[in-house]
Amino acid sequence: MKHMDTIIHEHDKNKWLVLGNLEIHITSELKKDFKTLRGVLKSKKSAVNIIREMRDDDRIQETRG
Amino acid sequence: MMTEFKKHADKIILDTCVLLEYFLNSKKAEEVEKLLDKIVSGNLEGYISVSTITEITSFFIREDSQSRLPEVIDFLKNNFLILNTTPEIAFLAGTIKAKYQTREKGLSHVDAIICASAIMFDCIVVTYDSEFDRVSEVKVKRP
Repeated sequence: MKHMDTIIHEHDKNKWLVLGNLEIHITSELKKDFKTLRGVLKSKKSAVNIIREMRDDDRIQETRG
Repeated sequence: MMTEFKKHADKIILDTCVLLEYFLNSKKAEEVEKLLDKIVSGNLEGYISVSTITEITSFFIREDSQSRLPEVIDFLKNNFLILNTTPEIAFLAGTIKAKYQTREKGLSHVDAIICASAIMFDCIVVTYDSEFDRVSEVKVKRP
């Protein structure tokens, strides 16, 4: 991988990533094939609608603000 | 503006919805997998905005699938160039957002950030979302 100023710095592999009250361990040593990620979400919604909803909500909030 | 990969030095920025189609294993997952294969094998240079990580994380948590987030984030970190929102990208995103703000419809913050990132890094935006088609400054392609 190329390294540029704009890339997120490599996360310390021994640290936990803390997202609010959620903590997850970043396992950069993971060698799994990315194809194991196909179908990890079970929602039947369309991806475009999910993202559109998320972004439009933000836009509406922004307009109200 | 629709275009072909070959015209643009094989650099693409994936919109979040493309990755989500794969994680949802929708009908589009097969074609997304082919695209991801090209990125993983180095035949295409794949970029994502850091905002994509925010959206993916948020959706996985909402869907109670946070246990799979470490694998997903590892995959993204190891195979994509992740673009931060630099002051230059933020400025450009602001100008694009203002330009496409109409009475009926605006451009969302993340849409504008992705467009600005694509311009700054000379990438094609790969998305299923037709919202990007009206932004004449970026080249857009379906997977």
